[in-house]
Amino acid sequence: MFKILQFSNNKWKKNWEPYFYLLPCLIIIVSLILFPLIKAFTTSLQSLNFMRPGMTEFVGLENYFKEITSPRTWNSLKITFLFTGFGVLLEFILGFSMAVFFNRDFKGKTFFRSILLIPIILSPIVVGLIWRILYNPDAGMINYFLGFLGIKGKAWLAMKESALISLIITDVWQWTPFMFLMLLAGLEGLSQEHFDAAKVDGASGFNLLRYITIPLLKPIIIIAILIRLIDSLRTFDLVFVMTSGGPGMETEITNYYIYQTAFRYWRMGSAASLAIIFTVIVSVFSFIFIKYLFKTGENLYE
Amino acid sequence: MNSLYKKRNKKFFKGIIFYTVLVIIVFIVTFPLIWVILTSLKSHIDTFRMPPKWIFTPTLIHYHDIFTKHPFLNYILNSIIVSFSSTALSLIVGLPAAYGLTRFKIKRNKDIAFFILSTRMAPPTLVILPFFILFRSINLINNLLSLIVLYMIFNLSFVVWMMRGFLREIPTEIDEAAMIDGCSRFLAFIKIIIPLCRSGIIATSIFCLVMSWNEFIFALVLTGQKTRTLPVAITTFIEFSGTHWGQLTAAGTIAMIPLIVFSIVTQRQIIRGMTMGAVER
Repeated sequence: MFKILQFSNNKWKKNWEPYFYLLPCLIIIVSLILFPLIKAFTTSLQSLNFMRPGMTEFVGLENYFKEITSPRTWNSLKITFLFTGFGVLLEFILGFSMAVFFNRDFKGKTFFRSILLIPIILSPIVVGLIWRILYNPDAGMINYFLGFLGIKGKAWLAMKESALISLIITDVWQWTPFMFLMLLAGLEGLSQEHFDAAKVDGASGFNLLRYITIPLLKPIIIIAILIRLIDSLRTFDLVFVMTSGGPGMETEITNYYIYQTAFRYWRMGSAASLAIIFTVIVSVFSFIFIKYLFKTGENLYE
Repeated sequence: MNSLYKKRNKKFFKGIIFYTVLVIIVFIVTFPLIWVILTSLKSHIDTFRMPPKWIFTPTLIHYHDIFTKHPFLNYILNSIIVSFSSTALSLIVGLPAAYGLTRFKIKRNKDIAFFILSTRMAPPTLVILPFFILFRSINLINNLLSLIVLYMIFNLSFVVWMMRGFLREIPTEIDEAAMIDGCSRFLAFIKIIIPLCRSGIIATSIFCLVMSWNEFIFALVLTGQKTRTLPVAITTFIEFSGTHWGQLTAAGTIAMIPLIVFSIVTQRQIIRGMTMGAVER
């Protein structure tokens, strides 16, 4: 009898012990995912508006319909994808070139790395503040330096043509070092054999890069781009400090539009439906992107 | 002789080009930061002088102002409380979970880990709306507790993901040996495994601290007058003092100096953590 009890006790322990470690974390995380999703969804079906308390009604899909037909929604999505697309592309091109260029031993490498780490860990709010001051039309350093090149300074952040580009430049300043450090670590981790073998075969310069370096580095390239895409789509701070979505709606990325709808106009229902639409679009895109990239990545290894 | 000379010459020029590029990049990265620090030390009149004054008598008046005219010390304390307590809490919950994922044969082990990480991908606006409505209904707006809870949840996914990598590097034989010596598994985890992955825990905490210290949108929505964290306080300075760059840059400098010092001191751990996550996946 005693033995059976002990046996079952052991079995119980064996089956359930993992959950002793995992459960607290899983409970918290599942509730983090489930609670906002459910709550956001139910809110999106209501006309919840904190400016008109007590007048909340169930409105079905009306919020979704209104937002999908609104040009402001499409404008914000366009801006978001321009910001993320060009930003990440530039960061990758610059970061990759730098990684290839600096992939050797030189004096001050550790120091160089420390310097490049600084933008990455700064708060986007502080970065936005810094660049807002640099872009200032009257006393900003950017116009001052452009003056040496004979270019007349403008109010870069207040002009329709240059506001979004100015934001992207700021983002590139902050995040190119991330790409660089990731790719440099990747390059340093590659074994020298492949390169030596290719060199014996007479490959050099561009061919070496194209047929040896890039394929070998592909997994890290994919991850670095993916991390940046996800982070870039979450951007809000930079727009908030630098342009507040303006001029007009030239820099109103979707996150900023949702924030305005929710916390300036207090139209919670509309904001929730917008947030869900945005999440669905982003998830579909990242899913396709991940699938596509991992597929091409795998093919290269086979 | 001649060719040797040419070769050396070529090498010399290559070196010059290399270090020129390096200096340009260092300049582009550091100039904005140096400029902000300089601006915070200039008197109000010098700030707007064009061409800029490079040599001036520094003043600490703006630093004095933000501490006396605004409750800036209070904001700093808020930021410290929120980032340290949320990091500690997420380590307490996340470490055992990461341990569980590496030590037990759990079905769909990888899926669970990926699922945990995917929580970081949701747009912040989707997350903040429901939590704002919830915290508003239970009167937790303008209370640091609401921020601590949210940051804890967000850091948690990160802790699990990173510590999984560090814990995998410690062979399971070590826990088994401790358990044969009569330790329970949990005691072995606390007394032996945790001290062994100290450097991993430090790297992970650094990331959590930095993320909580810098986080903006949740803090913007959930805090008020008294509970503002540093990033939110800085944006109120922008609205408030518009062109008063002195105070603005002083506030910005205070927010970034700890991070800069931190990043130089812990450079190795940060880079290791950053790239390890990548290699693991």
